[in-house]
Order: sequence, then structure tokens, then C-alpha cells
Amino acid sequence: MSTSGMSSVARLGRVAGLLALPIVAVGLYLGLVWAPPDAMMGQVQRIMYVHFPSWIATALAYIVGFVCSVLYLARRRPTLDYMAQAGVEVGVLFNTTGLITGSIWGRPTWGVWWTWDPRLTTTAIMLVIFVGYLLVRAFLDDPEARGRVGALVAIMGFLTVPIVYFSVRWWRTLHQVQSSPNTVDHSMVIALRVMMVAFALGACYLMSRRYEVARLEAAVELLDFDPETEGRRG
Amino acid sequence: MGSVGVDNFGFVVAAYVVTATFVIAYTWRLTRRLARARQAAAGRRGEA
Repeated sequence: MSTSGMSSVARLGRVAGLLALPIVAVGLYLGLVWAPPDAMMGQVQRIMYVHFPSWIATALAYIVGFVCSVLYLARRRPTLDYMAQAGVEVGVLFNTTGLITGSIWGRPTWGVWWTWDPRLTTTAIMLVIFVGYLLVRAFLDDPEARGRVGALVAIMGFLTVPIVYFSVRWWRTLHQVQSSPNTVDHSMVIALRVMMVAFALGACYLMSRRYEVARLEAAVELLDFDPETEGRRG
Repeated sequence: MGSVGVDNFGFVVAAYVVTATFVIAYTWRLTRRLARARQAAAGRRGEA
């Protein structure tokens, strides 16, 4: 396994990161200055420009985690396991920011920081399952078992993604259903789309960095392995 | 329902600051971890 040089994933990630920076700057200007405040919610609606893109980044990262986990179980290539780890960990990051920004938005609009609304509850369950993925991996020493069990947890966790998406349609409660661009002011749609692109590129950059970490740590783990004692060298 | 308006701009600032803090902290942690992993990999290659 090569540990030297920059992988193609790292190169693509660097490009994504470099693109994300100016786009997020433009998105911040559009969302905080250019787009008008909402007629009903006023300024607080501007939270949408970080809240919704957080979920786009979450979905993207969890999809990467899920697809790579399925492929890992089929092909057992370690690189697929590294990418699955990267997807899940970055997904957990944006899942957390999505929940927190939603909670901050909920306080002035609903009057509460948290409520057991189906959308909020299912996203919290999704986060707990993927945090469980990270914990399970941390407790397993054997890389093969870590990859296999991790992949199973990631696949199970991904089952919650469509449930989260459809929860606002299946159980209509406090959280609004998905908006259509046709019912939202054009300038708001532009600001939102720019931020969505910025967050998606940012998630790609972070996944590429996390992939590199996993690749290098696995290489070091392999070099540390002592075949005589079937354990780590002291 | 009336506007919850301008008075609540603090919530907007809080949401943006929290998001930026999490993303920057995670990026910083990854950068440090990557540097450590590169150093360890280079060290092991040197030993081999």
C-alpha cells in the first residue's frame, strides 16, 4: 500500500475546497444581505441558508457512506472502507449542525428549542445510529471486522434517511413540508442554491481529508502489525 | 401571525457562528490528524 504522495481523492478534494471558499463567501452575502427577509418570519428565516445546506451536505455524505459500505461488503477493498468512514464522519458533522441550527430556528418561531416532532425525532435517531457507527469502529481492533461491522451499521443507519425525508409528509405536525422553488422568492432560491453548492463542495473537501487520514492510519497500522505475535509491535 | 422580525437577528448570528465553529473545529482536527498520520507513515517507511 502506498503511503506517499497525494491520492486522486485528495487532489479532487483540494479542488472542491478551493472552489467552496469563494462560493461560501458569495452565499453569505446573498443570504445575509441580498435576499429579503421573510414576510412572516422576518430576519430569522435567514437561518435557512445554513440549516438546509447542512442537510444537503449530510445527505451527500451519508449516501457516500452507504454506497461505499455496500461496495465494501461486496468487494472487500480497504479504500472503500476508508471512504465509507469519511462519509459517515462528515455526515455526523453536518447532521449535528443541521439539528443545532434547526433548534435555534425553532426557538423564535415555535417557541421551543426542541420538540418530539417526527422530523426532529427521526433526524436525532439518524444521528445516534451514525454516532454508533463511529463508536463501534473505535472498539474493534481487527481492521477486517471493523470494516464489516461498520458497513452493516452504516447500511442500517442509511435506512433512516428516506424516513427522515418523508417524515414531514407521512406525519404532518410542526415541521413544514419541503418548499418548492415556485413558492419561494427568486432571490431566496438563488441564495439557497449557492449555499447548497458551497456546503456540498465543503463536504467533498472534508471527506477527501478524512479519507486521507484513514488511508495513512491503515498503512501505519499494517506496518505496526507483528505477524509473529499477531498483534501490534511494542 | 406577525413577523418575528429584526429583534431575532441574534438567533441568525448564533446559527451561523455555531455552523462555522463546528466546521472550522473539525477541519482543524482533521488537519492535525492528517499531519500526525503522514509523520507516522514517513517514520515507519524510514524504519523499514
